[in-house]
Amino acid sequence: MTNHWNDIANADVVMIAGSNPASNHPIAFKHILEARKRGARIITIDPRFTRSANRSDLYCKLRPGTDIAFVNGMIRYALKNKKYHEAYVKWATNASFLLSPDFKLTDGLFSGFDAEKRAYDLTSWAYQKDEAGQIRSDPTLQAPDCVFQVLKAHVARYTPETVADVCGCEMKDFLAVSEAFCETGQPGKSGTMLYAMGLTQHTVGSQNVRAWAILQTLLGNMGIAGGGINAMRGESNVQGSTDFGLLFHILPGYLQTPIAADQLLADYIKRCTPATKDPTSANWLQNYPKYIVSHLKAMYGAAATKENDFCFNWLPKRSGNHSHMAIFEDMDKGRIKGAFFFGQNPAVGGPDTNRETQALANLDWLVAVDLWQTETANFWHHPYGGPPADVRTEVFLLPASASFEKEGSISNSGRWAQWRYKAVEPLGMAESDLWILDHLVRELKRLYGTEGGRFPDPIVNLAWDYEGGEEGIDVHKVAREINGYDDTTKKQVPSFAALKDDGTTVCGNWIYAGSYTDAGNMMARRDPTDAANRIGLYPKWAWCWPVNRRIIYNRASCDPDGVPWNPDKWVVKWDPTANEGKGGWLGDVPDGPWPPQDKRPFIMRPEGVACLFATSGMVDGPLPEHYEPMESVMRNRLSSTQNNPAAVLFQVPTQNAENFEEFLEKYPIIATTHRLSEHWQAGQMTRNITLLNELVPAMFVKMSLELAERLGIKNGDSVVVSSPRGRIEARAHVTRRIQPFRVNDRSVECIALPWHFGFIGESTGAPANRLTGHWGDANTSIPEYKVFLCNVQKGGTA
Amino acid sequence: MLKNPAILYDPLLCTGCRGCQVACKQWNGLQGESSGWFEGPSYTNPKWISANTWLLLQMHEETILDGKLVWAFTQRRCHHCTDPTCVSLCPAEPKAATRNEYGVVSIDPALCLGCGTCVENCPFGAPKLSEEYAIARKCTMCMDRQKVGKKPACVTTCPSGATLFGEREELVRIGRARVRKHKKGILYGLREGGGSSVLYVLPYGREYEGFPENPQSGIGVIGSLHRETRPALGGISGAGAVVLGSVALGLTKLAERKDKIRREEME
Repeated sequence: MTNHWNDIANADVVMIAGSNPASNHPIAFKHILEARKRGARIITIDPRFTRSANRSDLYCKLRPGTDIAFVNGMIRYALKNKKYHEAYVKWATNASFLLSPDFKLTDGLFSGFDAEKRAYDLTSWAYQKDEAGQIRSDPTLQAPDCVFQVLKAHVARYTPETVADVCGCEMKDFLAVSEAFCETGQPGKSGTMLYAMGLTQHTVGSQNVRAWAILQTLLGNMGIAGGGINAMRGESNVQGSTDFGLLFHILPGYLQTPIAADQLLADYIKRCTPATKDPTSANWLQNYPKYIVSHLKAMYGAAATKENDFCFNWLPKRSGNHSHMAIFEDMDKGRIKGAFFFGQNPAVGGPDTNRETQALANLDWLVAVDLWQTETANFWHHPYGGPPADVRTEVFLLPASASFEKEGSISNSGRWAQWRYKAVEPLGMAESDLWILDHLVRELKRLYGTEGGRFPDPIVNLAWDYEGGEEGIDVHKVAREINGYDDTTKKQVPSFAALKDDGTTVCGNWIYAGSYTDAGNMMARRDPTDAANRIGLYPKWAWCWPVNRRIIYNRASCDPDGVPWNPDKWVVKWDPTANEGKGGWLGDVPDGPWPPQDKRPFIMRPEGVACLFATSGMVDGPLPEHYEPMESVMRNRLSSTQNNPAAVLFQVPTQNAENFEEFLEKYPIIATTHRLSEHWQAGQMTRNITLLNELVPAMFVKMSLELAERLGIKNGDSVVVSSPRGRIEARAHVTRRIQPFRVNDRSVECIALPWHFGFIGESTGAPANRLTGHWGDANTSIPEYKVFLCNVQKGGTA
Repeated sequence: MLKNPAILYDPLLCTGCRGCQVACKQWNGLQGESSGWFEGPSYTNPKWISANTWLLLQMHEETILDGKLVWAFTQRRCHHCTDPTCVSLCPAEPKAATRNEYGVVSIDPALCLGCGTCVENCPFGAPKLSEEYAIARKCTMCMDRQKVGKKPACVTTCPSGATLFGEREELVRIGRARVRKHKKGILYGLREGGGSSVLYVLPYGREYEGFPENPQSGIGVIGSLHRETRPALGGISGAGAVVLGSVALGLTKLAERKDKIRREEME
């Protein structure tokens, strides 16, 4: 989240799109209800009439996978009807920047596309620069090649008629949503955007979010109270896990993983550190070398010296895509010998579970670390697969302790790191993840130390000095190293501003610098006093990255003179009399100390402004363009480029241009997957609890009254759902909460499947992911769980 | 301990998470009912209040209100009437069903004969015979929690503020202000049941919820609480059972009704 949970209550309009907080974030939904109590309007856009839609003032349905068409239509509405925040757009965005004449969009393809590599060369997505290397601009926004006009031309095709045709919604509903939300473009008004996996789990997932980010920027909703682009995380600590480098392409603090071309630390730093010649750009990431060097010192301690490049070459170098699906493809090809699954259950949660379960059988060993038996730990007696005796994989199940049975921090969606204590002892032999990792690392260090190995240095020299506490590993020592310290004085650093690139500071994760200082564990603070601006920042409650800044990009909440756009809900403001007349910021921790005119507000971009047009950062287009999902009921209405041309395909989808209609005859129904309040993720934490199984007792298929009638299906009947990947049996939940869509003047049905079920536990059922495909987003490789085609028939024994 | 503790349920704030149903069972040690399917309308499960389900979050869907889809939620539970049928009809000596000085109605398991009189006659279908214990059981408004200064479990767990706990007088004030915003809105329990300790904001009126107009005293005038669906809003009014619910019936008719209800429950 750019903002945070409590801040939702400040919004004038709450937009719920690609998410269902009433179901999936029921506790947090109180912030939305609080906003409504204060007069806010709530809008939900979703293929299903969700529990959130039920509590909304406006609801508009849309066909799964058509968010970009919808949002580009809203952007067009805002531009055409002058609903955008003009002064904000001129000051805080790249709207006025001139673009290279080489940039083009031709029939759904941006310039620079290489069909063979399925990838773009980004050279033409560039600004015009003058002789001094400064970006050329037109402050009037009139030049035809300025970002503003290019954006306007780009979205001109997304008329309300086109939106209604593509999205399968009513034009009046689209217009009502556009009007209500774009009202927040007025200075002093705010609209928040709440999303989750409904936006991201698509082959255009990143661009879905981009589209909303562009709209939010045009409306001046970034950096303000009650605004922002807010990803509601689906796990209590999933924010923490990405902050700490869970994903294959990032190290802790969103530093990049090295690639083969980074032969020396200097090569890596040159590739990763952005540069600018604009004096009004703070370009915060010019500090990149300090963060990576301090991280290397945390990794390798005394072994990391300036002379040996701080052991940079001990970090693994990435050879390609190693995202979730890629790992399973590699397993399938026998390239991976063993795997640990910490609280992960891909035999239920992974896309195309048949494919992924088969891949598991190629492992020599598998370790599942979990609270319960999982389908993954039991894949070898997969009830749908071959005989267990054929599986050679040796499987270990390590019992893990639950959140209440261990101490440590949890980072919530709003970036607040909150310290938790152990409430009860773990059951039986269960141990915390930290204990398990500590024992594993110590044993590996011992074995590599005594027996050697192919490349023992990074393991033998890994700094691992956390001994203490009742578990043998002291979680506070880990947290203190994450915060960082001065290696000479051994004092904790107060913030990342104190980090250096000469090897004299140590810091595990630069964005957490300030979380555990010499003043104590800031994450453990529980002072509920609000800040002077009374907008619910609660700056002394826990700790928030970066530097306890509760709303990021907050300098954009002010005009170029530092005066808040909304004086009633100000986030920061410039006080010229502060600091003995030198001036200073009041309120939230600002995005840098500079006077308002000195630096532009978006300090993490080398341009210093928010990018309506992305010259870098996106691999599949500088602007969002509508493409159909990989399996679709409709040929692309906007261009002849049917799918995202840069989508990551680990499996060639069966549907193509030639067999399009033939495929549709076989699989005529749209399917989407979703979660429920009553069950959780892959189900092990809830399908073993009788009281929750009472609430949702069986795997079901949500279908419309029309579809049920046509197929002669009654509520509760067993049905068979099939896709080219597999088939499942489940019971029919016949409901008006899902309705067919109008596509090409005919009615197309859509079903919805919860994905919580599997074959282990007190309550069992077929995993919906037996039907989903092995392909995903161009930028993130997230699987396209949210839309595929299927067929539904009466039958089976569910 | 409050002087006159009460609960106010507002369906327009309810998100249907069903935390109340789970928290009730968890606190009171009630078993989950594993039926294998949604036995009631929409996601509702089990079908109705039972000896192991003292609070049921019922979900009625697909009602069109002004052309808009509505997914209506309501809590089915003991209303803790001021003039409770279960107390007046309880044949045990001394009475097993009593209303205490705080206005909370409870059934003493040590005194209950398991005769089923309260079960047969409660206008809200709240007490149910436990096969295991051969006594009638129902919501206690968590008197055990209240005595140590805690709110009832259903209230503590409610994340949206749909279920409030407080002095009845205060909740009546809040409830009245809320129903005023709705044309057909009523605050149910203000007078019904002799003025009950559980109050409902009913934005679309009493019929919509299937609550009886005159639930109190003597002969049960049981409402249409057991039916699968409810009439469409604005259009058809008071179909079938709803009309019955608002009319006091003779004993013969009552017996027929009971049979019908039993049949429905069996289904």
